[in-house]
Order: sequence, then C-alpha cells, then structure tokens
Amino acid sequence: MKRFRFIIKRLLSMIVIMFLVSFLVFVVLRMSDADPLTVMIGNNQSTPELRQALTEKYHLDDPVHIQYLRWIKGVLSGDFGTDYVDGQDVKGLVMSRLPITFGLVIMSSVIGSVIAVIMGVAAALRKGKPSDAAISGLMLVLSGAPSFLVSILILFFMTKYVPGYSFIGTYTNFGEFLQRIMIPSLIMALTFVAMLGRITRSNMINQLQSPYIATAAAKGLKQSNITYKHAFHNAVIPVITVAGYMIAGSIGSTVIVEQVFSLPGIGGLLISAIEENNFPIVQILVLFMLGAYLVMSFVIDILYTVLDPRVDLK
Amino acid sequence: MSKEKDRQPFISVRDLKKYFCLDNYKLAKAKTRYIHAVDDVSFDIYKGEIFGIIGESGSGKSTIGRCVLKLIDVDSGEIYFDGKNITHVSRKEQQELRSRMQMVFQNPLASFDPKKTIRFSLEESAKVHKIKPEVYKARIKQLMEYIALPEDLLTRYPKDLSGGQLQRLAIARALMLEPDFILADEPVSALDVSVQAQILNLMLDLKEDKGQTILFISHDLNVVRHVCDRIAVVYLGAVMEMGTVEQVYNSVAHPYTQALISAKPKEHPLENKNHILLEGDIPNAVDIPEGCRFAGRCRYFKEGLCDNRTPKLKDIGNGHYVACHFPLGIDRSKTASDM
Repeated sequence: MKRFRFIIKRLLSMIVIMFLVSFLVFVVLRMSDADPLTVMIGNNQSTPELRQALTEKYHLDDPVHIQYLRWIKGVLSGDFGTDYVDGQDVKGLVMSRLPITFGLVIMSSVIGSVIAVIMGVAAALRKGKPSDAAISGLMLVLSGAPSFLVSILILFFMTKYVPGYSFIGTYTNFGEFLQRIMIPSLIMALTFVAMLGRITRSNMINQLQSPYIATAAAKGLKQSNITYKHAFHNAVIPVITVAGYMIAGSIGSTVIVEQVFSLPGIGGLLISAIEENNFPIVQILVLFMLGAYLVMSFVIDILYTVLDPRVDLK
Repeated sequence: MSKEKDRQPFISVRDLKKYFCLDNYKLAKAKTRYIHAVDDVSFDIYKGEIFGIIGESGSGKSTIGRCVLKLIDVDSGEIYFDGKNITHVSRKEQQELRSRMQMVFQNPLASFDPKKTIRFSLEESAKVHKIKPEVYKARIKQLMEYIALPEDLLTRYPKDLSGGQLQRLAIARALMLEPDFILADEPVSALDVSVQAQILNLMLDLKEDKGQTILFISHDLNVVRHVCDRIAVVYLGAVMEMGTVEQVYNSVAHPYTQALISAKPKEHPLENKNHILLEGDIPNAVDIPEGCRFAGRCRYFKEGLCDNRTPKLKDIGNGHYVACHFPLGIDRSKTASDM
C-alpha cells in the first residue's frame, strides 16, 4: 500500500515536470531570434504567398501558449508534427533513430557496469597491493581520457589494422547493427569503468573495514560469503544510484560517439536539428531525454526498496 | 596467587610480534619501514577470569586481541589456546576455533550489518556452525532473557536500536555459539556512562554465572579496575607491567602505570591527588627508541642505561611483572597516593 502510494506520487510529479520542462523548452526556442519561416523556406524563393501559406499551416500567428497546447495535444495523441526543414514526419524520423541510441546505451551500460563492479571489487579486495594500484591507476587514466579522443584513436587503429571491419554508417540487419554499436559501446563503457569502478572500490573498502565484517569473520563465515553477502550487499547501493544516473546521462553522451562513428542515432539528429533551428525535432528530443532520465531515477528509487529493506518510502 | 601458578593457563601468548608494513610498493630499494604494533608480548589468561589489556590509543592493544582471535596473522611468536598451539592452523581447524572464541567490538552500531535484522545477525553464526534451528531458536530466547531485552527487537534493524541495546545484543551474538573465550575490544568506550555500567555488570555476570573467560581491552582505568581480575599495561606494543588489579593499582611498579593512574579523573572532588604529567607524545611506532620505550617520557630516566638497554619483563613477586630498570617500591600503596 505504502509502495503503491509512493509510485502514484512519483508518477504524478514526473508528469508535472515533463509538462513544465516541455513548455519551457517550447517557449525558449520561440524566444530565440531564429524565425521558423526562414528555416522552412530555406533556399526557396520567399514570396508573400508562401509565407502566408506556411504561417497558416503551422499556426505561427497564434500566441505561444496556444501553439504549445496544440503541439502537446499532438504529442499526447502520437503526432509529433512535421519538421521545419524537410517537412518530414518527426515521429518516423525519431523512431528510425532510436534503435542505435538505445542499443548504445544498453550495451555500454551493461558492459561498463559489469566490468566496473568486477574491477572495483577486485581492487578493493587487494587494497594496497600492486594489482590494486594497477587497476586503480587504469581507472584513473580512463576517467581522464576524453571519449572523443579515444574514439578517434580507436577509429584510427581499426582502419589501419582491421580493414575489413566496417563500423560506420547505417545498417541493414541485426548482425550489422551489433557490429555498428559494438565498438562505440565499448568506448562509452570506459566512462562507466572509470567512474563506477572507483566508486565500487571505495565503497567496498569502506565496508570491508567495518567492524561487522570482522564480526562476520569471527563468526566463522567463509571469506567469499563475507565479501558478497555482507560487504558487497552494503556497498552496492551507492553504486546502483550512480550507475542509474550514469545510464540516464549516457543518452546525452551518445551524441559524441554517434558523431565520430557517423551512426544514425538521436544524438546526431539533435545536433543537426539545433544547428538548423528545427524546433519540432529539438522539442521532442529534449522531452525524450528528460523522460528517460526521470524514468531511470524512478527505477532507481524502486530498486532501493527492493535492495535495502531499511528504506522507507515517503 | 599461588593458586594461579598451579593452574594451567587457558590462553598463552608467547613473544607475539605483529608488524605492519608501511611501504606497500616502493620504487627504489629503500629500507622497508614497519609499524611495530605488537613487539614481543607474552601473557597468560586463566579459565574463568577477565584479563584486561590497558593502554593509550595506538599502543597496539586491539592488535593483540585480533592476533589472539586469529583475525589477523601474527608475524612471529606463539599463541596457545586450551593447551593447543593455534598460531598456524589449517582452515578447517580455524573454523572450529571460531565457534570457541567470539568478540564484542567498541562501536555496537558498526558491528552489525546495517542491512540485516538483528535476528539474522544472531542466527547467522549458528547457521555457519550448523547448529539445528530448534537449538538456536531456543538459545536466542534464553539469551534475550539473559540480556533483559524484549524479543520483538529481533525483527528490527541496527539503526533502530540504542547503543546500549545493541551492545547487549552484540554480547548475545557472541554467546550464540557458547564460546569458551570472548574478546571484548573497548566494549563500553562508545557508550554513555549510565549504559556502561549495564554492560560491565553483564560481563561480570557472565564471569560469575558461566565462568566465561574474557579478554577485556580498554583505555579506561576505572572500567578495567571494576571488571578485571588481572591486567597488562601496554605501551608502544610492549607490556610494561602485569599483575592482579590489586598489585597494579595499589603497588604500582612501573613509572608509566603510575603516570596513567595519576591521570585518572578524581572519583571524589575532595580526593587529594597530584597529576604526574607525561611530557611529549607517545613515540612513533615506526622508529621505536633504543632501550626502554618509555625512557623519553620517564621521570626516573637514567642516562646510559634506560636509553641503552631494553628492560626485560620480570617477576617482582607473586606474579607481578614489570619491565623497568628501576621499579618503584614493592609496596607503594601509601606513597603512590602521596606523590
């Protein structure tokens, strides 16, 4: 019952945030000095008739809040509008770009989290030994390496030494899809390893030094049980929090690898839409990223209560 | 005292040494530096007594405890438990030993896994040692009665309980396996004075009711005096003085113990006493001074001897040991308070 009320409360607040932010983005975009008409007309001959027709078609004369209501009504009924530059259906455009972005996010976060946790725990168990220094040092270097640089380096070496591997551009089947996202996912995973690995290590070390670990040892528990049942169980909660927000944040960082590897994902779409002042695409993508972020943090909160019996939902 | 000489010691520690390495990975072939946490410590604990180890923080008293319990490996020396050398035992034997020695820590809240209920923490030790559920369920019931806490606390989490309740539960947890020996590492220093008394009385009850053998580590002279039968005073990882509570408190033989006792807060405002102020800090445990460890802070320091030769721990009568070149008079009960 308590959990149910918590979920309802959180969902309601998420909806309110989505409306507020989408409205803000909508208004701010229209406050910029970019004129939608100029964008739409582009290189065509600008005639008063064309301007009149477009203004009527897109209801550009209406007050901003009326325009917003019309747009949000469309979004809610599944119609994301048409884009300003090519007049294409925004929904189809976004949908065709989603698989790459989702693939990147899921693949990189799964690979990254698993490696990060393994490395973090391994380093913590060997605290102070050379192997710990090696793992920690590697994680430190990774956290300082900008992913665009790593991407370019890998691109450079791959083209030089593995000429047959094609990893750029569009895909036609699932195998090619995996081939496209594999390398970029690994690069994105490095960020996870750097951040999460260090958090895992420090949390594990913290827990392993707690007296209850010595108590568990005094009880006669096996070392593996002490490590996983007690120390890891307590150390994993902050790790999950950070992992959740990193996954949510990685939707944004797909932008970089998508650019470097010319992948058709929403990151590239967003950048070009911003450059072209293509408002309908910018609006929906910002809303989409916000939604993903909110959903992730919601999932983390629910996970908390599953993992930690002490947490009360409020 | 003569009675004790006939008795077999239950736990014997001989020449225990534990050094902690300071430089884990060094680049040049520099001399590796060590923290001399425990240096040549020997003592006996008899069955059914509360043996106290007292010392300042950093004196290595906790390390001694952990070595005895085999929670950390010793570097050299021997530990005998119930007549058996347990310094180096196999994993299986160690597992068996675990059920015979348990421990209680300083911080009761931290010594419970924050995410497990109290019941889980109590039952876990029983499960590890394959005790039948009927047996341990009954034992928990008994123990909760013994420590005078309601059974519904068992379903709570550590953060819901007070320090005193948790420390009593920690003692109950230690008793779950009916151990022969309990290590109590500063069990009351994190508690309020009013609660301290409850825990100390519980420990004394354990000794009286069950004949429990306890190694009691503390820095609090009053507490040690209240509960212990015999005590060892450690300084920089070495025993300075050892004997019964009466011997150590009433006929102080080591200048360090004398200074410690004089630093103890007055029990009565009208009590007349002069503090012996120890100058300087406890030396660095990495570079142990030559000769007597206490020499640099000692009032009776004699150049050429104290900073040259390390005094051996020797018996000055009736099992009262002291490591000093110039032990104070055998009977200082009058003079000690006059000083």
